Amino acid sequence: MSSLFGRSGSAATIVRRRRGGPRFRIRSLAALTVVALTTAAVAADASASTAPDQPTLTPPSYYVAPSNDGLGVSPGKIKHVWLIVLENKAYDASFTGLNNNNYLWQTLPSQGALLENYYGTGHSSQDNYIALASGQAPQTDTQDDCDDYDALSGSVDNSGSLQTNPDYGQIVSAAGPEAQPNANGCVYPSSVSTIFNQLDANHISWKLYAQDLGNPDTGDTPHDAGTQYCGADEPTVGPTGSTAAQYATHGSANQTDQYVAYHNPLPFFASILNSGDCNSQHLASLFSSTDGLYHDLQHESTTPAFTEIVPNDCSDGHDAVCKGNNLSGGFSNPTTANAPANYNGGLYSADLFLEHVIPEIEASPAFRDGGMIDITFDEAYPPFTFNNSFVNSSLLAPTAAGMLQTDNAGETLWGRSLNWEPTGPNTPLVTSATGQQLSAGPGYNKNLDRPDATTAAGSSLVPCTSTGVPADGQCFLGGGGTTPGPRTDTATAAVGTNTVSDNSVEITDEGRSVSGTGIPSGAFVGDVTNTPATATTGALSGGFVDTGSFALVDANGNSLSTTAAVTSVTLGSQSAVTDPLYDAYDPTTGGGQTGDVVISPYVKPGTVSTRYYNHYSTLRTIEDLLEVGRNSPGIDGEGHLGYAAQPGLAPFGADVFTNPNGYPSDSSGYPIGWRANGGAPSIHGWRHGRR
Amino acid sequence: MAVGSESAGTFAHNGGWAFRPGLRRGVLAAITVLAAAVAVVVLSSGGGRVRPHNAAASLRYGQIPSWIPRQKQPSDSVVSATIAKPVLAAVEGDTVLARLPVGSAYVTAVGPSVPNWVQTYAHKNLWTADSLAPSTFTFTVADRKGAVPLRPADFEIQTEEGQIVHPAVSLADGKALPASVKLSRPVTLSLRAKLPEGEGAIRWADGSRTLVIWMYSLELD
Repeated sequence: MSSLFGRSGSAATIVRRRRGGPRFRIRSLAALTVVALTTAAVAADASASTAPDQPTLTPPSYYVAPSNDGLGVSPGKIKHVWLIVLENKAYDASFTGLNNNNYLWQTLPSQGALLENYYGTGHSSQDNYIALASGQAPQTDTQDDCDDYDALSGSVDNSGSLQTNPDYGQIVSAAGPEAQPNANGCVYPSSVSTIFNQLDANHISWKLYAQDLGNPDTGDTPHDAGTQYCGADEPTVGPTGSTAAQYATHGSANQTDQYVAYHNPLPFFASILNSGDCNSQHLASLFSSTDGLYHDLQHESTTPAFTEIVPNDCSDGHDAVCKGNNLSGGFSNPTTANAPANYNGGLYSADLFLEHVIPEIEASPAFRDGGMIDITFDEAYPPFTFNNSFVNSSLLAPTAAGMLQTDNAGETLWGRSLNWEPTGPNTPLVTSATGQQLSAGPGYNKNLDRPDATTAAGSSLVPCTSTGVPADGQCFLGGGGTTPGPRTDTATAAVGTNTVSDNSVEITDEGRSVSGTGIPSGAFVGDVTNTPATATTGALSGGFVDTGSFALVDANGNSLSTTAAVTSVTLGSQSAVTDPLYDAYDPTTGGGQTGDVVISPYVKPGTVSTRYYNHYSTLRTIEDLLEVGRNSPGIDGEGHLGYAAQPGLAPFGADVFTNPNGYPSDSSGYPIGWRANGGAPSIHGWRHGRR
Repeated sequence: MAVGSESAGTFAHNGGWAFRPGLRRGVLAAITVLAAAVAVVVLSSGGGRVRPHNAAASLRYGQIPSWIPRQKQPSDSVVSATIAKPVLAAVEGDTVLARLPVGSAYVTAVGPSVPNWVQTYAHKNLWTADSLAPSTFTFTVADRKGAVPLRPADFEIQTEEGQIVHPAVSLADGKALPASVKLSRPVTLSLRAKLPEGEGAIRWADGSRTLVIWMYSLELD
């Protein structure tokens, strides 16, 4: 992988990307002139000090600034936005046909635009919801999905400017970077604004619909304390670091209530809790017959301008097996789900949910009159391709590096698509003097392999217990799970070669000792290469769907050659002690490639975009579409919050809004009782169970 | 605009104003222009920026826009798997029709499910990264034709770490899998294994020949 993290340096450093250049929106010739001069000066300076692979945050000389911030449709044309966030699936799981989830994979992209290179901004879940609402970067507790409902202590970094301070507008935790779990806190102080506050400031209507909100709980404590607390687990916010029982959150679904608060951003911002917005005007149970989605969609005047839909832990695909109803029984009416026919979860239940909700939205007057539906996932957890046994996507590179890349970051700055995102002050990417990655970063780097202190002693390797390494002191052994024991693989290699063919080898085997006939002593698994093969090839019957090989190296990474023909190899058990070749240079920096679908009269059906976007891009897009900058300037004076205000960050552009004049909002069409996929209407016009 | 003109006309008709015809036309035209200007100003300022569009006021709920294409792909198709063309499916995917030389059957796999106490431990951070969760997959075979084999050895789980785990296979009620199973009704099997958190795959094979691979995700948060 082409690493964005330099391998050279003089000391352990916190990697902060240089930020320079002018505001992106150019309003006058004078401004243009100033911008050009400034850009040239800063770019020249940046080129001398920035590592080659690092993104340049100043506009490159060839770049021509588009009007309207690069937004692909004129502000004001989109009048209603629906944001639906699903859970924990990588692009290759969701949009390549692996899972037969045809509605999301095929039907919805055929109605709008598929953003192939859309990325989450962190691992695990909650930091992504925070980013979508506020542009705030991950921090340890939101990465940990907030086990406790406690106040986040810290202050917003307002020193310097967006052009000089990469953390400008970000909250800096009082606990410092890479803090221990439960040390930061979870409820952002009032100084952190959100898109909801921006909408309030502009008198623009908004509402969040959460499935199962207010449901009774079976054998469990209530998952929400009520609408008046914005859907929080608890009625009060605990002091920072509190682990007292009364502040414990409830992260799992139960039979009658599959709502989990940490997928709802509202209760995690004091700016919302204190705004007077925690009421039924802004928060409702999704399928409520009195103030739910279907009820409000009946008239454009009752449809909010911005809607966030929070499916429950079943409908969002989080749970592989649902604790409660997965909607497989269909609906008796638009707001009443029948008993389920089964309890399948994952993309199966997500498809069932979308098949019900999306046509409801599409049939509304508000959608026809300038609507936009945006469907994405919080994070890719992790890509199915990571361990190579599941590779089946023609869109992905066959190498191990390609697998890692799918768990990367991505956004477009100054017109360039980059596998990069800003880290923020609380999850910096810390590197050693030799460029080795030391910290979890926004991606939580669960797949980063590193040795313990014993192994690292006397070598250039940095152990996981060194200063700057995550304070919990845990080594991240590839995959973050169990440590495999010894394994014998069928393998082939001729005498005198340094590559061993081994179809069982995986990227996480790198660094394991190798022994066997023909293998020189002191050998280890070096770079692993896996080549995907389609699972529909008969020749692969009986095996997993990839072929693989690895380089034979010594403890210092030098190439070794076989001493005789090889027919099998034994890989030593993997642990921090026995792994001298851990790869500390290729961390997974973001939330992974999730994909995103946008449906709107201003998007031609079947559009495919390969431009890089992430949750910060989505926030910027919504801010631009609804023109919140008019009365809520954000941190850049143009209405953008947090990292949505990154200079040069692209909102959804002309590659997404491919029909800028829009389709007419006429009254023709086909009734909602007819499924968009051509199915016959069922009784009451609502689909009944099918599986 | 139309309302403004109509009002002026009505007012004149009631005798409140009297103009010569030419002058009246001029005044009416001026009023019309003024009313139009007022209307434009009113419509373009204040009153909430996001509001119903006049053109859409007549739109009623219930119509899918005609520009949205009807989907050609059936959304609930059954995938066929054969020895020559094994299927890479998902636990949460649709039913797979397994076609073997000796017979066929509809098969589904669901899981893994884990006991509630595991998730409770995990949520309280009492679950260490290398802990193994007792996990259960439910495997159902229905509408069998011919002699579709069901052997414990035909099931295999590969974890995220690449470890191969052979699950304990039994009937759903816990009884041992018999040598042969009656064809008259669906058969439900339980596949039990202790697994690490993360992703993985279940492989169902006819002997050594793969028929279906289901992917799974074991999350404990």
